[in-house]
Amino acid sequence: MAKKTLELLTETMFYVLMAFQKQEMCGADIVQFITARTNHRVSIGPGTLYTILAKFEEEALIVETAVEGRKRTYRITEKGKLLYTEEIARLRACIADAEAEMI
Amino acid sequence: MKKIIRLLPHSIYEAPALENWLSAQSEKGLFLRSANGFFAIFSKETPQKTTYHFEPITGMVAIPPQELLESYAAFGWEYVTCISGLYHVFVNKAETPEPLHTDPLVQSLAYKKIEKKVNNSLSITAIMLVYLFFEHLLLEKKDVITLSACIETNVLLFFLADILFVILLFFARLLPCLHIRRQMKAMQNGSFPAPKSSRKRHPHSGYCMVGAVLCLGFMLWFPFSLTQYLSPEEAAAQQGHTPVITLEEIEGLPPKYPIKHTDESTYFQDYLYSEDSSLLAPKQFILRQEKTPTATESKTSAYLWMQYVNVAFPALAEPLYQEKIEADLPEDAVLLPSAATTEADSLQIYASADGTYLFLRKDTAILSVYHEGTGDPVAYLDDFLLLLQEGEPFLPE
Repeated sequence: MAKKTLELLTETMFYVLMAFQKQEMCGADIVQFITARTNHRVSIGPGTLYTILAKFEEEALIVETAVEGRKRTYRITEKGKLLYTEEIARLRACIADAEAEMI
Repeated sequence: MKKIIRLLPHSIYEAPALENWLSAQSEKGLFLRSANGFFAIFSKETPQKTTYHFEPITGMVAIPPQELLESYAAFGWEYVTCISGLYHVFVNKAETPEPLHTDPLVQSLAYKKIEKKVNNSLSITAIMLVYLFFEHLLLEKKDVITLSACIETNVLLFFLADILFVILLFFARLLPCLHIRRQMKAMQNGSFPAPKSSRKRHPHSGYCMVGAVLCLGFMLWFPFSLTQYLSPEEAAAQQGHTPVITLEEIEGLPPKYPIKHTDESTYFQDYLYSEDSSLLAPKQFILRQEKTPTATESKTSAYLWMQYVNVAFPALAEPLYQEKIEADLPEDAVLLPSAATTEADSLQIYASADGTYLFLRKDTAILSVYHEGTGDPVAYLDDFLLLLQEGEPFLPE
């Protein structure tokens, strides 16, 4: 059931996964990244963020790399990268379909 | 600081309803300090409008990480307590608090662990119920225990309490599943949290659990409230009988309990029920005989099964004692016609030419005497009957 849920990433999940593409990140970094990348269009509450991180870690999409004081840093795994790539392909297909139908 | 304890009006699995209730309490000046599945402890302070949030615990430990606490605090949410290892409770005193969750689908994921927990709990209960059901059927089929026997033995109340216990236990497990699924569905539809105006009350699974515990308490207490199931010794003593001779006084008898049937030539008797505090009715003592001639040996063996069933708890009935006693009879052992030897139809005597007799009393299953000797079996029968008469106070009616 859990895997089924992650077959389709929500927008916030997608952006959290996107945040890990170039570097390792902690919770605060992810919030900053999403805010900057979407120009405040997408906001992520702490409850949502930590639920996503816990879920991603459980699904082995990310792994914890360091704990410095209260800060926990994560990096994306190969599985996470694959899911991210697949999601991009899906979104591209959606966009292509939508553009093809435009008058 | 004055502490006030209140019963939770909703099930612990109805987080939005509890959040609303706690917010309403804060407007009355009651602020949550700690809680469990049934009670909440408040401190009395100046009334203030606050918002509560139940965050399902997703990690393995019930202590929230400091990083999470700081992130929540940055949004004005302060940690209050942990409830039943299921939720972290946060409070926000702002007029319009920043939402902790911005994605309802993700929020529903947070409830997955709780859903899994209650589903597992329900599955275990369901397996237990199926097991009890089939065990009960099996026991009925084997005539070990029957509903009619329960009624006859005046333990109908106990039987009903047993059934009620099982039903309540099942609902105590089922309702949380329904609550959690309803919430997750609401979240996935984006209608979470529940509107504050919602006053709809759902069955409280905690009350079912309390009911189940009360039933269990009743079942534990019930046997002690009965007098009609005193052991034969106690019953005889209550009626003023003084035993002429007790079977224990007969030389060579094995200890009462547990039965150690070591020597076929010794007397064998059992008063197991008199040692057991559970409800046992005489009718539940069952003696089975089976003669199993083997192909290779012209030898007949008699097997006795003595089954003692706890009729106080029919759904959980199981033989308290079951022992196969193999009494190898001589090859020429024959079953003497009871009419020829005794007026008691229930008495069967096996006899052989070498003077070995096996006396079996079927109706009570109390006594089986394996007697060795020579001579007229009827003489031994007289001894046996005398023994029965002398031991009458010890036999169930």
